[in-house]
Amino acid sequence: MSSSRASSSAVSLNAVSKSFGAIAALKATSLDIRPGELMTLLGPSGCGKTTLLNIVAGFLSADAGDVAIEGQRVNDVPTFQRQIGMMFQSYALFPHMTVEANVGYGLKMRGMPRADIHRRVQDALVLVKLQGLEARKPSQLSGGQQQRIALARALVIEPKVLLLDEPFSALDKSLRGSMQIELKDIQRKLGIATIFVTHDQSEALSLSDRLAVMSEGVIRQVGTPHEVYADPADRFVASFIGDVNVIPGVIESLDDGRATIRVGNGHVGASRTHLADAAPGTPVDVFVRPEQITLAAPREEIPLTGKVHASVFQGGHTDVLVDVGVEGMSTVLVRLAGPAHVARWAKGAPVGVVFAVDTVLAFPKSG
Amino acid sequence: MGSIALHTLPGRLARLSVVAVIGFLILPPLVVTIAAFNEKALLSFPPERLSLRWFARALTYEDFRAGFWNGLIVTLWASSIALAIGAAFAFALDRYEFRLKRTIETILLSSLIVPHFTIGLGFLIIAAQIGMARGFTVVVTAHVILVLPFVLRSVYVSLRNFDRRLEQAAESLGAPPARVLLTVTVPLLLPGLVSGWLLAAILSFNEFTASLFVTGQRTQTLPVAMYNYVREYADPSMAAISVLYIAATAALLTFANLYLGLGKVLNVEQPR
Ligand SMILES: Nc1ncnc2c1ncn2[C@@H]1O[C@H](COP(=O)(O)OP(=O)(O)OP(=O)(O)O)[C@@H](O)[C@H]1O
Ligand SMILES: [Mg+2]
Repeated sequence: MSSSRASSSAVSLNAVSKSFGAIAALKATSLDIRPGELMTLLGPSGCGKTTLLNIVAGFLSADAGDVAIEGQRVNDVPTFQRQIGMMFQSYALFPHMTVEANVGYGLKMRGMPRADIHRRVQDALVLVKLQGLEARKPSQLSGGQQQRIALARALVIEPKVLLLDEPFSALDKSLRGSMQIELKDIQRKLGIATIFVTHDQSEALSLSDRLAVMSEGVIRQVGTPHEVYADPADRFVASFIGDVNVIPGVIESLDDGRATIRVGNGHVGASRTHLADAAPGTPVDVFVRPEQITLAAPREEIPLTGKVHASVFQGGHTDVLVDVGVEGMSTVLVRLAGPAHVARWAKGAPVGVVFAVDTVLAFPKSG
Repeated sequence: MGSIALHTLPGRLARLSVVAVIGFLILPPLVVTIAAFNEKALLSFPPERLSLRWFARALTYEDFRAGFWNGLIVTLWASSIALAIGAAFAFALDRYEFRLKRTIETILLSSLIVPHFTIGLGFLIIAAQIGMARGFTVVVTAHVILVLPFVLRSVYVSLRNFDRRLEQAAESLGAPPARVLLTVTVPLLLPGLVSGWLLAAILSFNEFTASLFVTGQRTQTLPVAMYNYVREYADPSMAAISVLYIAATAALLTFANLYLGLGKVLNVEQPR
């Protein structure tokens, strides 16, 4: 590839598409993964994440478009020559080989002398904190141990890019959390470009340097977790990342950069980013995060009023669900920091919902 | 819940039928085994005095000896060829889409529904037409056709259960296709391949109907030799051969079960 942009990327996809019969699994998708970066592909089931990953791995060939690894076009390079490291959801450890043989497999395929293989395997096992099990078979390991072996096996060959397809989805929650932290540590230490597939948005937010939010074969937005959370590109991203309340409103007035939106009996400001062609009177949906609203005693001029449906103590914060009698929505989720709220906002208590920020997101009503 | 109390009527019937089935399975070989030790030249039951003379006769009778070796040659060739062909087709059926796939599959499995004597007769006519002697080639070919469906099935089932991601993992680690096959696919399919081969071998060695048509004096297999024997004699050497047969097959299967069932194939690398 000639462009300097492509050659400075660890992986670059340029207008790659893939269909299975009538299903367009991936539609003209472009994406660059920078050297050393952990890029997450996030999206609901069936949106094309695995398809994209398999195209990078070479298990699938793209119908159109180019794939490059470290600047070299690999469309016609078979998987075994792509120098990738891959970790599968099912681990895919070789059941007939010992841990040592599993981890050393890639090095053996590269024709490395046995003594060197042994040394490198030891190093890799130190890296994933799993020594002393070299002689075991995968069936004699726990799920978490198999996970580490699979990671060691993928890393020991020093691949140009590490590909992980929902690697932690089979682990229980606490183990998943600690594996995420360890993976991130190892990935940063080795500085290896990584594509990580998940449909778990909290995993994506906590792990990624940048993430690509996908839906129906299209990348909707690429950005840092903070960018994607705070400034979602469209309705889909706004509702997929993090919890969000969608509250109906009407544009009351517009000036240069801002819109004033009437919500219930109150008002809130919104940026015009997504309301470019809107006019006063246009119905909109206000997207507001649970931590961007708060509760007050019900008064006149308060945007929404209702009754507490439930107060749920969550440790560091309290989630309060409020029943509001607004058409098209039933409850509003309010997230209050600190533990003291459960008693104050008891079930059935009348309550007002107020905006705690002066700028929220608004999109034209869908349709 | 769910289990049948044994003292109720259905419970008794169930118990009775289990006993009956087991009885009918065990009874024939048991009767034959006892008859084999009869001292008299009769297949009478029960024997009055016991002797090993019929075992000696079975083991020294020239036609049986020749039949055994002929059968062994035919079996080894037929099951090995059937394994090669069956495995290749099972692979193709599992992994590739091609024209006439269903038709080819049906033809490969068709000897399950065509009677053995039809196949034997067919081969006899063809061999006569093309002026071929009733040599081993014809016998082996007929046996390959007969056992192919079983090998194909056996390998196909293990391929269906095979996790393709293991191959992808090997590929991602830098293994070219041939090495993926040798280091991952074949080792993991080995139990299926071996059991397919064994099934074919047992079927082939026992095959009588088609063999009767396609074997000649020089190539007759053990079942054919036994058939020819009983047309002339009715002494217990048949029973003695049966006992040897059962013992040999049981030993083979026990060995295979140890080998396959306990995963010895897979554990060769394990130091402990
Ligand atoms: N081999 C295939 N044949 C036919 N359709 C396929 C094939 N692989 C994927 N698809 C379809 O392509 C679309 C994208 O699939 P893909 O596996 O990439 O989704 P995904 O984002 O990984 O989903 P999940 O989170 O469930 O794993 C889906 O509609 C899927 O049904
Ligand atoms: Mg997937």
